[in-house]
Amino acid sequence: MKFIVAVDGSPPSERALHEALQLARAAHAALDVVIVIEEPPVSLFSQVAGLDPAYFRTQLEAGAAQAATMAQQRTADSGVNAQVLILRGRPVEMILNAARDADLIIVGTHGYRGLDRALLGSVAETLVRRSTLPVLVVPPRPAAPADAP
Amino acid sequence: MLSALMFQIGIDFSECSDRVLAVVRMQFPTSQRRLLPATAKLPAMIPAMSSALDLPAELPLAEVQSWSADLIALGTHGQHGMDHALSGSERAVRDATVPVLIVGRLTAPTASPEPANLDTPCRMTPA
Repeated sequence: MKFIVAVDGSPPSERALHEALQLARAAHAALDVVIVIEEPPVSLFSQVAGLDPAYFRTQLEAGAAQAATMAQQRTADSGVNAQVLILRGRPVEMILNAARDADLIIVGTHGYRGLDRALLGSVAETLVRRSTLPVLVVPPRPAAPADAP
Repeated sequence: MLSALMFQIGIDFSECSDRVLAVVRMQFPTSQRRLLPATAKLPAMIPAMSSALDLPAELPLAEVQSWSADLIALGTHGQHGMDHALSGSERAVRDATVPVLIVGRLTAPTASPEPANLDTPCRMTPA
């Protein structure tokens, strides 16, 4: 059994990772922690003056590396057989692709790009609509303050 | 307690909610499961009405606090049918403080429209 959790280093995805580890432990499942670096659309750079594509990508890579380090630390002594993967492409496609041999996808309701007012972030919503796997959607608010590490 | 994960499962007797239960049983056999009738049959038979009622999310969330479930499980396509896809689950996600397991179709929406074999999409046939 294998679970996939998509993280981006944002607080909601931190909690998604926490829940993913707990469930993977309970279900004796392996866990792939997936971080997707999304290639920004070319139009972004023509629309926003002074936005340097190279600098932008460097920032994305650095953010992903930071999220990966954080995920490594969380998974290291969790007792779960976990690996952290950095993928590049469109988030939903990459997550679905990574989840082809998985049994469950776990994702935060919102990542960094989420809007407060949207019920579900675009990645979470599209995953739920398109996935044939069960998707566990994790809200940002902690259920109980009693899970201090 | 990891061995005593509490799952609260919204059941509306649709194929999708059957699958929700099957998924939870299979993947988390040691979990405690509490089933909740999540819709009424009658409104589901009147599509125009049911789209306004939005029942599936209401009942589980009304009781989720008192049960202190670790997780809520819902199907995307209950008795309300395709038009209503996701809205019950979305409401649950918005209001819930615990993770919500959303179980959708067995077949991808882009796959062949007539799955001839064992895969049964969680889809209500239009009246």
